[in-house]
Amino acid sequence: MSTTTDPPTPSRLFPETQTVWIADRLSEGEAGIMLANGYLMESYVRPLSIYCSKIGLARSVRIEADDLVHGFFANRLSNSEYLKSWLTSGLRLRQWLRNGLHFYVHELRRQNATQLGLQIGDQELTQEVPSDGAAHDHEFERAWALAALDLAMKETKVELEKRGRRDEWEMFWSHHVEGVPHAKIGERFQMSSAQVAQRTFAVAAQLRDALCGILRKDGALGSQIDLEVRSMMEVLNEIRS
Amino acid sequence: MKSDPDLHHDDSGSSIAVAMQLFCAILGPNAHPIDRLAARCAASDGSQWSCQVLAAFVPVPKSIDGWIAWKDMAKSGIRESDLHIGDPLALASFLQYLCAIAGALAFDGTSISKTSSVEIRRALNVIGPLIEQSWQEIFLRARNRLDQIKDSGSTI
Repeated sequence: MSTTTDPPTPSRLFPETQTVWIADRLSEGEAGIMLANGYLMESYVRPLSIYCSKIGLARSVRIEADDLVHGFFANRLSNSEYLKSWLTSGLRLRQWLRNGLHFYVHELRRQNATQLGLQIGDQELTQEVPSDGAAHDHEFERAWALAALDLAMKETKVELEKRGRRDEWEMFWSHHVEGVPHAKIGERFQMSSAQVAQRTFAVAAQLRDALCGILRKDGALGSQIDLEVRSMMEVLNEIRS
Repeated sequence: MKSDPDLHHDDSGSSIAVAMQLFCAILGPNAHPIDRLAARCAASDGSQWSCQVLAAFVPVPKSIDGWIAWKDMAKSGIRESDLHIGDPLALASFLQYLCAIAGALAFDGTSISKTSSVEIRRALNVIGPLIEQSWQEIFLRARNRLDQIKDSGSTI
């Protein structure tokens, strides 16, 4: 039986609304908020933590990056209004959280300064890391792209395993990542080339749906998914070149 | 690479290459051929693959006519539908095609393709760093030529 707290079933036909899943959870009271918070922790801790490490944000408050991000989530998500504020911000969730993390670091620096009896001005507080906006944006977007894809992969594999179809992931991987022709994969799994092609296509669609679900929760419109994926690829390409 | 990698913890070039291949799979026929080619070149055996593909293209032409002949030969091996599903042979021809365009640009600034300069620049930027050194230099010279053309206000 489906409950209102199940993650949304991905579909090729997405409604043109943003932030639906989290808005729905927030309207469900304590249990829904816990679910939304859990999702945030699962999806955003790693990209934020990598971002903190890469740009030296964690060093600026002498805390390990993971601890800083966990502290940030514990602090902000304990306030039930925090995510509600995002709903009206017009920002993508990841941008909202990244901005929030910077504010949190300002607060920590102010607290540290107060404890040490130091006078610290607002300008100094905002200089928690050397300013290199575009490069920092890039680091975060890159970490986010990998995190979202990683999560989509895990969801897809779990789903396939639940249905006893783990082999289909192996077929998909062999073809799309290792470049093995369908016919050759078919020899290994005793299937025709067409059967392998059909299965790898189905897994690709499932992976796409999983990624769509993640992007929609971040605030993307259903019609923007291809655009989103392309911009994620662009970020990865730019890093490489 | 194993089929259950941790893309984040394995923050190496191979992770990025795998991510690119997975994104191409997700986009299916809508994946851009340049991205498909980039994913192929960046794969673990990608540099060996691109070296083999380009080894067939010797000696490097010493005239624009020679580069055009290369381009025409490469183009004959590209079937659009194959390219959009990442067929290895179509990708190999596409790499040769881009190299011919880059070669002509680097040679004397001639554009031998109707492809827009924006697309060519992107191809040079994305594919250039992924191929062998001698071709990287040709791609770099081609990109500089494009910049000069842009600065002088003319179009290709």
